Amino acid sequence: MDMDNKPDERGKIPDLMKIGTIPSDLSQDMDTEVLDPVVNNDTFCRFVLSNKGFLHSFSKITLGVTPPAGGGESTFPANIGVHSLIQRCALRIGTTTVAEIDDFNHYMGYKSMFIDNDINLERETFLTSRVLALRLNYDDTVNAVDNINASDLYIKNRLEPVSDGTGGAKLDAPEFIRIGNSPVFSVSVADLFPFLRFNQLPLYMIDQQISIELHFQPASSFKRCCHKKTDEAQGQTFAIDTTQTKFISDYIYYSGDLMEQYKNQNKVMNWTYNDWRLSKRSISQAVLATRSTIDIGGAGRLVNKVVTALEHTSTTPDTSMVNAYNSTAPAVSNNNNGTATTNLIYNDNRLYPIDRVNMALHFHDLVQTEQNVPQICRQMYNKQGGGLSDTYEYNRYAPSSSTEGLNGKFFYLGYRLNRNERVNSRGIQIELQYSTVLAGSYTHRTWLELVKTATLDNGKFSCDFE
Amino acid sequence: MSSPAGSNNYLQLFPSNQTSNGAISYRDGNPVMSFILGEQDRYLIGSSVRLTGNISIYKTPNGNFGDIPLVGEDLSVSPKLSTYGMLDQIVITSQKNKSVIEHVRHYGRYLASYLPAISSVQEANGHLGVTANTMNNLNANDLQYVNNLNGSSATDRQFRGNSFCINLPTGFLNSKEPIGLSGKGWGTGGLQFDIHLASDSQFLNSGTFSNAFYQLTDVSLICEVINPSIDQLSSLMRQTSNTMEYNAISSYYTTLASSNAIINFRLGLSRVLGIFMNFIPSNYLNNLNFDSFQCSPLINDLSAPEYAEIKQVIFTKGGERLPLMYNLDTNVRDNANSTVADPQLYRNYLNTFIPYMKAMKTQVSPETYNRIPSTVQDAKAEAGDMFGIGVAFDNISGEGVDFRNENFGAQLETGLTADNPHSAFLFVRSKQTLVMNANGLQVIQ
Repeated sequence: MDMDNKPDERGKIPDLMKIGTIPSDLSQDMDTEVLDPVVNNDTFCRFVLSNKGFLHSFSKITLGVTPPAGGGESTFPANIGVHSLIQRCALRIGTTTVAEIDDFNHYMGYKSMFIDNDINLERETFLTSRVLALRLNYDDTVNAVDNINASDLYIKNRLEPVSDGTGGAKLDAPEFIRIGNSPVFSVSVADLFPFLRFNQLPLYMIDQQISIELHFQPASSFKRCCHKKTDEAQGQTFAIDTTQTKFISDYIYYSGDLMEQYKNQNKVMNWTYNDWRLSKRSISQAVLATRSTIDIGGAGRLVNKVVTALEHTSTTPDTSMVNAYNSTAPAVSNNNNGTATTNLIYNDNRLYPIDRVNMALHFHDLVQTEQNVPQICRQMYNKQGGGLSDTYEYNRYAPSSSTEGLNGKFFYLGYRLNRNERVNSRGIQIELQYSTVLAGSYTHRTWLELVKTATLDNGKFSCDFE
Repeated sequence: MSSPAGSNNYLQLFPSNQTSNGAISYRDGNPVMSFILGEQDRYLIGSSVRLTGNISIYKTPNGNFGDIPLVGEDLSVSPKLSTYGMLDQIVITSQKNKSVIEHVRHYGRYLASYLPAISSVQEANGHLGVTANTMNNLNANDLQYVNNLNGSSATDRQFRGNSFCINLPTGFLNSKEPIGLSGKGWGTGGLQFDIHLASDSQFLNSGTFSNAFYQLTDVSLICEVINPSIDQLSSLMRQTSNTMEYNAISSYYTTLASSNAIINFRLGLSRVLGIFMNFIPSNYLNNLNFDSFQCSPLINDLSAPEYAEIKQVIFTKGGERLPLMYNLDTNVRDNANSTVADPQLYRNYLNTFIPYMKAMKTQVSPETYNRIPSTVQDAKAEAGDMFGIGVAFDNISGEGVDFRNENFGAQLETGLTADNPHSAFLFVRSKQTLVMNANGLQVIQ
């Protein structure tokens, strides 16, 4: 037989790892397992996955907390929901850490911003307890508006606001997300490990143990839930309900001997993916008010983008709508908005030719970084304008409050590194200055998106930075 | 053409006609801002261009600045546009040889239809609210934009007014192809952006403050450019000409003052994709007493109030019906009292912006497209009237219809019986080709 005329079978085997459309003549089977964790307590849990099929990227981990005696009206933070429970997550294959995000709950404060309000209202409320959705107020008696003129924005949910007797209104959290009703929510593995949005892991090709580890946010930090203002005492402890911690894993199979052919064809596989690295430090009010240069790492790495958050540290974060999962904008003083001046330095050059100061331009840079638009209003981002309601409360918190509400709580800064260069040994530095800052201490977090490369060689997995 | 690989850079340009105090306003004699992106061996990413700065709305002048209107005072802007309303014309020319590449006139009127048609209510209150300061209601928009007290106090003042960072939706900049900036044949030879500002009486609406004005500070134009790799650059240096295609916006203006309104234009365009128009009583234009960006149905008498119905619409090319081979008979033709939006007009209008079946979001709704008259022209829920008429010529092949030799016509049978002339702003989206070489460039329409 003339080998040169043998049809090339390789071209007929689709790339099964890539998530996307599949050939119309290819059938898929799905198998679902509910896994209990092998380690399960109030601070940590570990799941060990079965080495079969492809892991569906939207497999879920279910989580819940035990309601304390006086915390039945509490909810998970309005912006990130049940993700508040997870302080760190890691995907390990054998002894190799494939992906890991530290301060994952804070990171989700950033990622959750990009979810459409309607999706929060109609889907995420039930899946993850993320409830941030806004609507214009056409029924505001305090500001004397009517069905033509609206006043400002307030939280929209399945309930209608009820008059508070003083001209305003109060809107409760829906019953099904109140902790007193012991709700159980889920987190998808694609949220935990963002590279799984584009790749599905071929578990059956891996000979090592595959595990997912979750480190829970300590209950003593009061960063798990938000209590209802005035009706409930601050500082209650919400313990993880370990009976609800499960991994609902979906495994995908393809028909015939396609999976075997795929395995034989890809005895050695390489692919690149992105992982996030956290750089965190405390910053005082005085340092923030002066121009400071902050080292954030990334030396020798390929870095695609950098995202920063500035948390105004509080000992009672549970007395607010979004708990600690926010990024504080410069303060307003004498009706004047503050500014943030920033730039990013790497390889001895600044990213921007002129420091960024304009607050709308910061937002634009964030859009360019994420290639998506945050679904938040102006006051939520940079405290400008006053579009949030101060009379229509959610869980008794005024959305317009800069301490308990949403005012200036989403001031994330994004930097898209576009010079296609590897960062030199000095690493990346951020220059940052806030013109006006509220008193107190701050925690500055920076996540760097790093390019990594993975190799699967005859069932043995390894990875390294690109 | 694929995007060249290589590194990118951010650029920030300042107006070449910057004033000494950095403040720019139509009132103070600065109706045009010019930004020059010089000739260079790079590509511009058109969609990255943003106009950024701060904008203040003042009810009365006070020194170099002004006094901010208080809550409840009679001064507002169009909530559909907010900061976009300051744009009157955009002219993009080659910096090297001054040839005009695209010139969009009546830009605010264009955006008054375009922006609400392609964005949702949530977007208007959300990310457009951050970048262009919009909010989807007149009163709410005034509260958060016009009445914004930022900068009113000298203590702790960082800047004045509202921060903005807006894109400039034009066909040329929205082109997916990177724009060569070289003057050696494969680019435009740099670009000049002339941004004409709208007059205060066009942008603002007040029956009380006759000296109301708006003012810009810290204005700049930002963009991102691609540096071709050395290999690419050496091959580009041998390239003596280049072409690029884009969907340009052309604008036309006429007036209507009869019950049989006929619009007839020789477009001179070879690949027309779609046409839409919006209307406003002519005396509302450039009139501080009215919202000059409102897109209302035809109005017979505002005080009554009485809207004039549009009973029938026929689109023609060279005297023949095209692209619709039938008359658009509206619901009001059968029932003169009907105030609900006509579904045929609505669908064809939205179809000009984006194929109707792909339109996933819009602010144009039964609430904003109906014919319920109001004595106060801006007293409307949401962001006010978003009425318009339009038709798409080619949503399938994308090649368009040839209007070089035959006229475009629209025949409107209306109930316009009062002596109230209306302005019709007609916008044409057509495919154009830019041909570049070392001697200059030419736009093939």
